[in-house]
Amino acid sequence: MGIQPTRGEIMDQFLISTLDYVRAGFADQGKFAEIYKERPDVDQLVTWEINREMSTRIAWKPYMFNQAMPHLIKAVTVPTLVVWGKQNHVVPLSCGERYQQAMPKAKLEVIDGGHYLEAEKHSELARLTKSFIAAK
Amino acid sequence: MHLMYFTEQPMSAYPKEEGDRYGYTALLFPNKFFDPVEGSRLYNERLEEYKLVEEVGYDGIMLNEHHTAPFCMQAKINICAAILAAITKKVKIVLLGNPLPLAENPVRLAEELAMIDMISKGRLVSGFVRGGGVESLQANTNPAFNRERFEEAHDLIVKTWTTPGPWRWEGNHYQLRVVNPWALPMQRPHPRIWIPGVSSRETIVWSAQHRYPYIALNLPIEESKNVWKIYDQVAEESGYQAGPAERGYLIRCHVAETEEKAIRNAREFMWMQGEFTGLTHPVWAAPSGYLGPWARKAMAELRAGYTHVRGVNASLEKQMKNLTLIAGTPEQVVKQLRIIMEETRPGILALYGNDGRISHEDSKTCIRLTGQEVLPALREIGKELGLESPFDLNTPVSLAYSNGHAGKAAGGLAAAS
Repeated sequence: MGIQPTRGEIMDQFLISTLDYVRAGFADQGKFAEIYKERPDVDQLVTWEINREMSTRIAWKPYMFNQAMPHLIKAVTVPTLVVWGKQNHVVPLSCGERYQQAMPKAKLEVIDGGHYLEAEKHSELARLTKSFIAAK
Repeated sequence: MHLMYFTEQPMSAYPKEEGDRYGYTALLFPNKFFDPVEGSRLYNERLEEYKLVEEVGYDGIMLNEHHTAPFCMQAKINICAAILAAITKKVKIVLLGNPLPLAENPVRLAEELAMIDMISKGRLVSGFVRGGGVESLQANTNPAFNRERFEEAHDLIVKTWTTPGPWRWEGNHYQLRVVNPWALPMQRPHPRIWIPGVSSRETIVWSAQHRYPYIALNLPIEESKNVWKIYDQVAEESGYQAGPAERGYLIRCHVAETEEKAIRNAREFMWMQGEFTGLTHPVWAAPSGYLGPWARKAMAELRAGYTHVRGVNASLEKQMKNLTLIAGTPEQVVKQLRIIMEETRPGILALYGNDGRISHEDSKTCIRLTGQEVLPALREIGKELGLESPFDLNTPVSLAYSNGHAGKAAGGLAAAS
């Protein structure tokens, strides 16, 4: 469960297909096709469906956030790196800002990319992570 | 036979071309197209039609509930039922049904239904449904827990009606500190419960396990037969023999003075782009978790647009040919209804008479002709085929009140004394 946005809404996956939702998480559709193919296999659709069923069970209401989260993560006092995609259309940047504001030693980096930075911008994410760890 | 009248109570005054333009007519279809002035007219016309339904000799009026879509204006089934309880005298008020998982407090539903039963002097049939996927989304009730909520709400309501309070309920989905309503149904042990459906195996099995009549909603004959095959088998495993009293069937059936007029009006059943529940997005129709794992692969392909639902937008002619839609003069419709009755043997038959933009006058003509000429013929056919209803046999209200065989049994209904 995440944090409630102060500006914008978390994209409601329960109103669209898993295919459309995962696509929306990529700023670069070419990268989506490289990973999942232009027309993903049915097995992939079924895997997404199973994942969504679990999301339904745990994140239906409130949708994808926990109202206690800003209070709980105040306890995270270790240095923390928050990385956000500039073209993230799934979870608004205001969530990233709230994470950064709530955790005393958090740093927010906004880079080009969508929601799935770990898939779409893995090299950039690894570079940021390595330099963050090296600096500590 | 128990013969009921039904209409979806459509908000037919909405601009159809906008539905075509949006590509869906539910959930996110903007309610700026809802016209309350027309809504007022339509609600009042329906009430006038329901009074006529009673006058011409129907046994029951079937009501239902849907949300955020023009195909059905009943946002709260119990409101219309309460009005009918006061303005009718004889007909059964058959709710098919209250969408239980949407309820946050089923005891409140139990109270409302008890009030309807008392005001109507024991004429309530209290059906229950799971609610469609669109209803889960609009009410924001978790579809993954839909069936669990349905079953728990049902258990809680039946206990509320049958177990004197006060007592406490600590369930998985509902928690009530005190259950002790000062509104209880007049019918004892409780109002009859009927379950409508469109062939979901789990619901058929659950209905049969409880010995609740299952009302097959406008299925083709062969699909209806499959429903009864499952139901009968579960009934046998549960220790009773199911028959026509456990079988209900809803069929679209419009009657007019001439065949030409009847077919012209029957085209109005196609008003929601060929589907009487309208166009909907496959994700909304069955959100993740709403159906069991058996449906996962098929739904994944459907939602992604890899496959499409068969039969959507079937032509009027095709639907009339496979007898899922009947239209004609009284004599013509009786012939076709006889085929359905012979093939599927329902003791409960609901005639879905009017839809779309069929005028108030033509709706009343349909009701009048059906009452005067069709219903008497159906009753004769019913007698000939031995299609007796739960009321004819005074069957137990459920397996819990059954002595294990069909026919008159302990636990049949009586007014509370």
